[in-house]
Amino acid sequence: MIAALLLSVPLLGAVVSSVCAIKSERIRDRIYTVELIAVFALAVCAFVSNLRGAAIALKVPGLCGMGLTLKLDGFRSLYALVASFMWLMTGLMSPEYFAHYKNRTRYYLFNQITLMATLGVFMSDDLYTTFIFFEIMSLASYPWVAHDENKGAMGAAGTYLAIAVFGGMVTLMGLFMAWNRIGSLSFDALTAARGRADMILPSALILVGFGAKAGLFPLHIWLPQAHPVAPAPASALLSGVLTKTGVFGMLVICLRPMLGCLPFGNVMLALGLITMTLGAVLALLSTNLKRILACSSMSQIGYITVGVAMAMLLGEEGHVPASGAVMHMVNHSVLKLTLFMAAGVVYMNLHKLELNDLRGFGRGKPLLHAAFLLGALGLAGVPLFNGYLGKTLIHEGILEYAHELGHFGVYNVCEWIFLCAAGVTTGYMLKIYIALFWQKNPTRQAEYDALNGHYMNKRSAFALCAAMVWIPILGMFPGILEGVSRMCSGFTGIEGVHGIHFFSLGNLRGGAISLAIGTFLYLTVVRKLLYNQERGYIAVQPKLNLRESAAAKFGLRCVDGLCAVVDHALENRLFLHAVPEAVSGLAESVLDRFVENPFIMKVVPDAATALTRAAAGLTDGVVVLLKGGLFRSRSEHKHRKHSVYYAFSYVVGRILNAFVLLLNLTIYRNRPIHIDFVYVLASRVYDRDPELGRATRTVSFGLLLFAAGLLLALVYLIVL
Amino acid sequence: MLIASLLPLLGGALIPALRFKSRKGRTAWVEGVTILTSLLVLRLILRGTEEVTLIAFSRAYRLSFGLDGMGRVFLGLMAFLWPLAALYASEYMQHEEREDSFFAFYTMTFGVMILYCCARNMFTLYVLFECITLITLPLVWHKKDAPSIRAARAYIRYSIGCAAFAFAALIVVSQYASGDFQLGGLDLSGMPKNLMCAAFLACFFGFGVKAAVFPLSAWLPRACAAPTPVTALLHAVAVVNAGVYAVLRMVCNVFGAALHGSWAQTVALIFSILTILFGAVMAVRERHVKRKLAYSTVSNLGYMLLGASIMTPAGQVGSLMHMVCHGLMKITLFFCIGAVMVQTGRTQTRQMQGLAKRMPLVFAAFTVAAIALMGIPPLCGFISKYYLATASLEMGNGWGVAGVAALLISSVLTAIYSLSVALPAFFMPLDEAAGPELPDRCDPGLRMLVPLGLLLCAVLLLGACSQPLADALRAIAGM
Repeated sequence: MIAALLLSVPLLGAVVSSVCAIKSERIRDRIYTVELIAVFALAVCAFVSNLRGAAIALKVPGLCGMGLTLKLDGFRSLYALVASFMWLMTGLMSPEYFAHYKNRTRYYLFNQITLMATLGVFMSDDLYTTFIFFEIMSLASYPWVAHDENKGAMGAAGTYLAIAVFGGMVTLMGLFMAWNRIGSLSFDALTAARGRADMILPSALILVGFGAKAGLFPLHIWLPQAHPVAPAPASALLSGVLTKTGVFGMLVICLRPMLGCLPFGNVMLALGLITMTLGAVLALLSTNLKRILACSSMSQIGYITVGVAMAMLLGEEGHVPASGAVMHMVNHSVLKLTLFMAAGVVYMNLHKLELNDLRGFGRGKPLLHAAFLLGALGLAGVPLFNGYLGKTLIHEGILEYAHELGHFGVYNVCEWIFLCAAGVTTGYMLKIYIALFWQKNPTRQAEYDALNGHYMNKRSAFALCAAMVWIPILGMFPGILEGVSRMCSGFTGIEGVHGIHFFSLGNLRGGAISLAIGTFLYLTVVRKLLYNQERGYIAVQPKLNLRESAAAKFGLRCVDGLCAVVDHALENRLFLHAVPEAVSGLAESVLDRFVENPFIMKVVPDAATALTRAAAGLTDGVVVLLKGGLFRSRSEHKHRKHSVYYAFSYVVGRILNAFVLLLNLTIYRNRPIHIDFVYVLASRVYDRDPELGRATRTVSFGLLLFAAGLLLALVYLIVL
Repeated sequence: MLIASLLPLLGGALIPALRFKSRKGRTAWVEGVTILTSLLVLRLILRGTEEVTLIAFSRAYRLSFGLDGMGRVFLGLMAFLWPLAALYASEYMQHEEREDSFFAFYTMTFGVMILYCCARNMFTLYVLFECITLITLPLVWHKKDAPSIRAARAYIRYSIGCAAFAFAALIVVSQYASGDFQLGGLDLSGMPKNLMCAAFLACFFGFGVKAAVFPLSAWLPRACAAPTPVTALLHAVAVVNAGVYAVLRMVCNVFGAALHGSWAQTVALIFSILTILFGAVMAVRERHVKRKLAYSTVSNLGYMLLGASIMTPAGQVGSLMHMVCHGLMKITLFFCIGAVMVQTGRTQTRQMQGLAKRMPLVFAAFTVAAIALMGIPPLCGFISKYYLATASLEMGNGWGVAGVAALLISSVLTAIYSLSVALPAFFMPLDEAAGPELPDRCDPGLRMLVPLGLLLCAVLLLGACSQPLADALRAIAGM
């Protein structure tokens, strides 16, 4: 009942509010708010009844071909709660944020449809249902990204859609293969298929779509593009909830059929580490506020992936990293909600996102200051704030596995990469925080100070407060998240954690190392290399150009993005002279090879098209050939034919003439015949010629022949 | 059955003779005839009919008619679409000339299609296959300008020329077995294996020409020169599906399981996959929207041929399912584009941008149908793709996987070509220079919008609850 209501209330709200919007926008906003509160209340109900031990399930057989199965147990009810909470908070802020926007009704319509689809994903109990809602969600969130309708937004939205459709189709392929191999897509059947070697390929394919949505390398490219151009409430949801649907799929695949599969786990670990580091480095190099936050999202998804990968590697004993991954999901949702809403507050006042323009904006604005500070502390993993807990558990997971193997090896290196990435996180959060709240704006500080006290209304302030209080609460009472992890054990299939000593010396040491690295990075890289007094912060952003050819886009983008990072880093002498020229040359030449090379970009696709076109034109060719050969129209070749006929008549005429001459000399000596047969025959031919040609050219002649042929065939058949 | 088919034939033929004074009178007549026919067809589908033999030339060559499961599906689809298309055409054709002759042939085609669906043996099927070509020819050259004459020429050359292969196969097959279609195929035990394969391929390409199988597909995009109701109903549903229907008949009711695993099946699979990919790639590269959709039809016909070439009951179910779903989606897309062409005169992809603000209803319908065509759940395109893909994988060999891969690649390409029309229409500013000045709202009249709305409902409904249809199709395929 609750499950059905959770899905139908947003859908109903979407229809009703869009219809009402024709009358009045105020009614629309009210319906929207009431509906979000209703959904939140339903989610709370589901969560509470779950805590009491009653699982909610719903089956709709026959709908959409194979029927939908929904279930609201531990993890799922938790994420339904988180999603509806985030929707409510961003919804409270939306009226103020969108006050000066166009196409608001469209935004609200698709916002509500996406809410329905997202809840559907989090409640699904088989991958088929997951996929259906996942696809609806991908498409319905497109108008968010494209909302501004300018060139940048359209480009980003195009990338978003391309990645979503591509990922969706690859996932579908995987689903078909999985269905073919195990005969069912329900989560229980997936658990039962654990350890089957023939499930590796389908699992990998399924993960492509979910990984793309989560922002996993190398399909992360939509993320840094889409977040900065989307409206801030939408960015908060994209980053806080929609990426988590990808992680949801990842959890299903990795912890059910693929648990304990070492090669798969190692690949996931590598991807996670790359995403984590790449995101953090990109964030450090960017100067656009929302882009930094977007890259940071990517980096945090990397952490979660590392947690999942460690759980896979540890198999049944992987409860520590698995709980860490789940905790970090919740933490990241809360953190990004706070940070993106704070960024939204900045944007709705200034309509700017460049860090240089924003310098000094936060001075004298305590609420905004608190929100950013808490967000930064949480994200950097400072003890007593929520980000610390998840990261600690994931870190512990790596240590555990390294310890299990017993010798110093790759996994110890992984641990250090992990700590360094956490350090970079501290670095870029310090960068935003100090720029926004401590530095002074060289030109417009007075203007900014004048806004103090009335830069947002009470509703937005309430939403911001309600989001940020969770950061210290969850951080200071680890019991809450431990309880959450135990609650999720039913879904992950791995038992939750008990009585972890989060604040033990070893764990605090990891946090301290990261913070030290971060501070060091900030002082050296950010302040020395990426900042100077005149120009302010220097952006080192890879240029991600949209190439014309649609087919080459995906692959090239990845190569392009990577090379561009290296390239620009070298160009800006980030690594000074540590990296020899040769590497820079190599990067450039790779870039040229692939992107600028006319052969790959132009000749190959064109040649392929020409080939297929030629093949398709084969029949036309045959027709033309027949027309010119077998069925050649006679009139075109009158001349030659005439000469043939005339030659023939001439020869016959000469023979006749000779014969007549002989007769004249013998029998008709007295009354000789004076007829020139050559002339007579030639004139006959001349007279008759058009009729001859016409007869053989007509359709009736063809039909006559056809009928004759048919008769012959019939005779043949009857005789046989 | 004969009444049902004679009614539109006569009703159509009488149109020029009746000399209608006004458009209204003719529209009422055409609608009356088609709806009455559809009702008769409905009765036919529910009640069934006994077999009728019109003429018997010999034991092997008889014109005989009757209705079985597969015919019912195709017939039902057309009976649903024909009145809607006629209604749409009544508004659309106001902008064209010689409406009388158009509606005469448009109505008569319905009668021929009914007979075609009821064909009970290979000979009857072949004869009516040729009849379809001839009766639709005047519709293709209706505009009588150079492109439509060229299109008509190409159409007749391709159709008649390739049907000759089918004729040859018909003669060969009748040497070994005669008799009506039956599930599981005729008794061809005396036929040498390679001859059977060759005969099947002759049928596959001969009848497949109407289904635009890969090297024989050039006529279909050219036929877009015809008025949009023709392109929408005939070249997206009736005529092209007639080709698929014939191939399915060959696979299920003539050759049967004997071909399973033979080299002929491999060839058919390869060409089906090529058709899918070729159509989708060309649709991406094409700029003219109607031709884009025509190439998309080629690609989707490839799906159905793939289903047929799988040669299992599951494949047959997928193929028939896609026939129904694709018919609904594609006719919706064509109707939308036709409405845009009539109202704004714009035909190129680039000119579509920003138009959704002026024609919101039409473009909303277009977008939903486009998303359905991509195969995004829960719309109906996904359902049929799902059945095709599972059937394909059940074959259990490399071709099955290749087939699924082709389906999904073409889904991505479908997203590119269909959304490259739909999304700029919503999210980009109007290109004022592209055509004449437009009024603020230029959605077409009700006679165009009502069919669109009904079709859209069908698309949504079929996506949400496809189970009854799937069960019916399974029963037909003998699963």
